[in-house]
Amino acid sequence: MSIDRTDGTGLGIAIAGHALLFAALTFSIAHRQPPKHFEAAPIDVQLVDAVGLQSATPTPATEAPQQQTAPEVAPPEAAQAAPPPTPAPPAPKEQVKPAPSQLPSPKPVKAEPAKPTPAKPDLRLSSSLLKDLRATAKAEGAGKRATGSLLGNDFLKGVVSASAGKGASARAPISGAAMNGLAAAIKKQVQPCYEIGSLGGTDAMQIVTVLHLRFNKDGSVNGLPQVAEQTGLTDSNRRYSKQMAEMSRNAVLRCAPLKLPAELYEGGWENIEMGFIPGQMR
Amino acid sequence: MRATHILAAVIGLTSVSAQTPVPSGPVPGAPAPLRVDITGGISQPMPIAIPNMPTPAVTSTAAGSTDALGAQVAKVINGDLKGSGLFRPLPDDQLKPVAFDQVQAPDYATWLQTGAQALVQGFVQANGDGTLTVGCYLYDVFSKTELARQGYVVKPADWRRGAHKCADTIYTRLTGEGPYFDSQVIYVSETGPKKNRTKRLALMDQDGANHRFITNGQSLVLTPRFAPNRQTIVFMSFENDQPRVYVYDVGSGRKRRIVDEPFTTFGPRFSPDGKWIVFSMIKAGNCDIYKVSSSGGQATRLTTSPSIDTGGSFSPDGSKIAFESDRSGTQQIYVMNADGSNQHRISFGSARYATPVWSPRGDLIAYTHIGGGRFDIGVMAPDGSGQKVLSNGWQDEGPSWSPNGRVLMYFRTAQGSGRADLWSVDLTGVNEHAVPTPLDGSDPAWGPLLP
Repeated sequence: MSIDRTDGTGLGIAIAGHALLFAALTFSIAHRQPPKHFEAAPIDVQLVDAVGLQSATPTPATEAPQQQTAPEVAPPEAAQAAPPPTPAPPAPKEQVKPAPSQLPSPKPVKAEPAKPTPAKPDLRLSSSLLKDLRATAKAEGAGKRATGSLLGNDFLKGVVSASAGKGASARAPISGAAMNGLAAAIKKQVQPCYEIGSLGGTDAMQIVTVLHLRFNKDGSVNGLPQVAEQTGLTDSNRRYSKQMAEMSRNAVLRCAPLKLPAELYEGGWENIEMGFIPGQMR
Repeated sequence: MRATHILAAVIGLTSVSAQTPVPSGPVPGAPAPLRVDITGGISQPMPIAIPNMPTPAVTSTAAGSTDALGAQVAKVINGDLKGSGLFRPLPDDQLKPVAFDQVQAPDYATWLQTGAQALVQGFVQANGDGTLTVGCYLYDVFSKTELARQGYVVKPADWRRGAHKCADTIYTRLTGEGPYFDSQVIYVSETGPKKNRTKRLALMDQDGANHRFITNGQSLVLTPRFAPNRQTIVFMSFENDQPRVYVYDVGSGRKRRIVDEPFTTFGPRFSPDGKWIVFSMIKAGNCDIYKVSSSGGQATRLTTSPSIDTGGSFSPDGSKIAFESDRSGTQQIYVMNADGSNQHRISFGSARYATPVWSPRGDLIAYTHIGGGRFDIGVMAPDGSGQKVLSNGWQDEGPSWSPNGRVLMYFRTAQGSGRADLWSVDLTGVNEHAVPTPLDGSDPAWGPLLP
């Protein structure tokens, strides 16, 4: 066994090449950044129908029979007519719209004060956003893809009432596109109510609070929101932890009831996790 | 390189999938709930309703009838919270009267319509022994819950303190900061022409009330500072044309020189435990920092450099002293151990830095920033990092911390007239405003929270 000169050179080059490749790979792995979590919900750019929360296999509808859903958002009364299995809906509430905000004249104390609409910024969504969402939802509800603009509104209406009404047909999970649209709608409604009062400019801005929220079908919050987790706490900002949680909670309470498509309630906005990130993105 | 690109693509995918809903649902087995992130909270003063406080029975007291006091207590709370810059009390015409039986059962529905996020209710009650009880309740209007309640028994003459304590309870609960409204400020009250000012020591509540003079103005006084127990004040006086630091006992009215030596002494400050006083003394043409027991005795020299070392201020744990020195050529801030060891510079800007004061929280040092023809108030971490200018005047100097370390008071000298007045600013640099004094004012020192 002898290695001649060319063999030696070739071997040398091969070893050097492998070493180089090994080094390059090692180097790139060593410098691999851990995946960054986005601080803000990304802008909704829908390229395809992304995945939904559940596999798209139709499952038997757990939904109780429902009255025909009008093209508009179902009024809360419709929900009361057909209680979902969980959670039990609250006792029917009398919807009393207070007189336009200024009401300085003292009123006698009522035994059971009617629920007023809290003073809050104008949060109305552009109707088109809701409309789009609804259309998507309806298409999903029929277990079909939205196949384009050939189908008129009347057709969709028929589909929705057929599927959501009788409870006989399978209810497909909400698509990823509808979910993202729903998230955008929720964000848009809650964002203006997220005030951090005195804590702006302090190191409380590093605290991120995540709330578990349960909504009723009328868009109101079911019970007091619970803190799921809080991150970013340090020795110096820990004293603000409770306040940050309360300001997050109040943002939801203040902007509730949310106006969201009834079609997307179950498996959609019935249960949500809401993260509150007080600092602006850098 | 190709491998790197593939890796990058994988990382990209990972981060994309990271934003899909986090699988941590409240119900096991259920699909992960939708995750929505709300970013960038709006920072603005919190709207708060502070209606007049009712009384269970109108009773006349040394400070007036209890129903009138209920309105005054609400006013003081209103002034405190508004003065902090962190709250926006509703104007009177948006408030509605509160009956005594509503104090603990607020009419949330009505308050919700006013836009108030928090509600302060309470009562003023005359007790059989001649004292007053100020009841104080804080409610969250959105969650319809009680956040805090406190009762304060005060002498009628001290009714304002009951109101300040209530305001402190509310402030503490809603902001997460420590209390500071029930505190006093000592400062130098100035009057007269620029060349011949009369300077007297004056004491007032943090909001300017209960103002009174401590010295008569026959000799010039400077740099008054409270002892932590407020029973002693140190200051510099030009009595007999000799600039000396005096220790003044508030109870007895007696005063003595801090050290029995024939040298100029100035710039005194107590240690946080009140046992020591750090001060400057000019001896043989050299100005150094010394410390002495607050009960008297021999002074210990802490700095020895041939430069001017002055303006000592203890850290809240008493272990360190910040001071200013021109040993580098210009005034800069230094930190040393309380025994004088380990002296090191912490400020490295192009400007000059003077009058360092350690925050009661310990995390910041406030100072006078001198540069660009201006004097401003700034803060930095004890290691010199994170410098931030807070005030915006022509000549702002001599900062003093509120007891909770959130607010700074200082004095501003007007360009031209040379007249000075007191100002305060929030640590975040907002809410800079004048503190009202009957005459001109300088050299404020914020005292500790009253017990």
